[in-house]
Amino acid sequence: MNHLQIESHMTEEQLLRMCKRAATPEEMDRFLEHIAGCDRCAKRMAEIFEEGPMLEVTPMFYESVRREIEQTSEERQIVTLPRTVRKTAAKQAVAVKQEHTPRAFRSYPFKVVLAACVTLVLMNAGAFGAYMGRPTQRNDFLDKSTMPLERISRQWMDTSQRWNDIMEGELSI
Amino acid sequence: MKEVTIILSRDNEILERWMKTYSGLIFTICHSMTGDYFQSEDLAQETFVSAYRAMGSFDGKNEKAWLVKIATNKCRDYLKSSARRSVPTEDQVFDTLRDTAPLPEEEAVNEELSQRLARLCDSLREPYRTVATEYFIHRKHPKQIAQEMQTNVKTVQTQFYRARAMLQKLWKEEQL
Repeated sequence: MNHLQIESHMTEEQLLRMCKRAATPEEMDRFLEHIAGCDRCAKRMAEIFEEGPMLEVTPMFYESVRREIEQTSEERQIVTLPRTVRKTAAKQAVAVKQEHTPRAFRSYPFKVVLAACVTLVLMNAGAFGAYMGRPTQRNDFLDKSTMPLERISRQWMDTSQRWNDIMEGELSI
Repeated sequence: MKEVTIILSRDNEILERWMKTYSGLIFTICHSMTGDYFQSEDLAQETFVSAYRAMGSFDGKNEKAWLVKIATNKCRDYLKSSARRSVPTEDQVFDTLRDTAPLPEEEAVNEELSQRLARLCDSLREPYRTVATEYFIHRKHPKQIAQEMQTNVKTVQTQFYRARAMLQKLWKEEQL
């Protein structure tokens, strides 16, 4: 008989070879595929294993399963519930979150505004002067940076004054 | 929401009963199919998680067979994916053929498993060696281990997860 062939149900010999890991990888795949869809063979396989000693799960096995379920169950609940229930659940979740959120975090915008006001007051009072260097150095820098602008504006003013004088006859061209 | 809470509570009770009754069987099946102690524990956990999620579709007739079917599906998917990842060497093929010879009794296999686990735990450096040995060999919960070691539970849990990852790697390396 072809070992890969499975009639309507697995034979006892096939089941035993699978349970004892005596099957080839190809056989194992066929056997597992069959059992995944057959109640009778799945039940018989369980009985074979129960006849021998069984492994004991580790102490955190149950916790790990529960944790995995909890991590995903909330999302699934919200997705599978009717829309009205989802909205209510979402509102309740926000309310619970606010209840547990310290008041300080809820007044964050107020804190930002307060910090900005304090900064402006300190700036006007000159508290940050030390960080901007000595006043002479600052003025020199400012003077140097505005020199070209002043020169250009002076030239324009001189030019416009000259034209004005010409127009009034005080100067000849 | 009350109705949902009641349904969830009932489902949780069913899950607890399933785990209490069938966790050993499912774990043994997964280990028998895969040969990897740590992977089989993961597959067994995934079996119960999937069973919980699919509880609505269970007809309530034969829960043992239903769980076994889920477990075999998980094992089959794992074996297929691990077969894709590694091409078997000639030695592995011969090992498979040698498996057709008469195998030792199950008690001896479990004893061999315990010895192998103990050997791997012993090969870790401290504090992982102690945590792994206490957990896998002496079956102590991390809370108990933390009490005995007079240290933080979170610390022990972190050490446990690292130890487990190292053991899983060592196990796989021995298989190859």
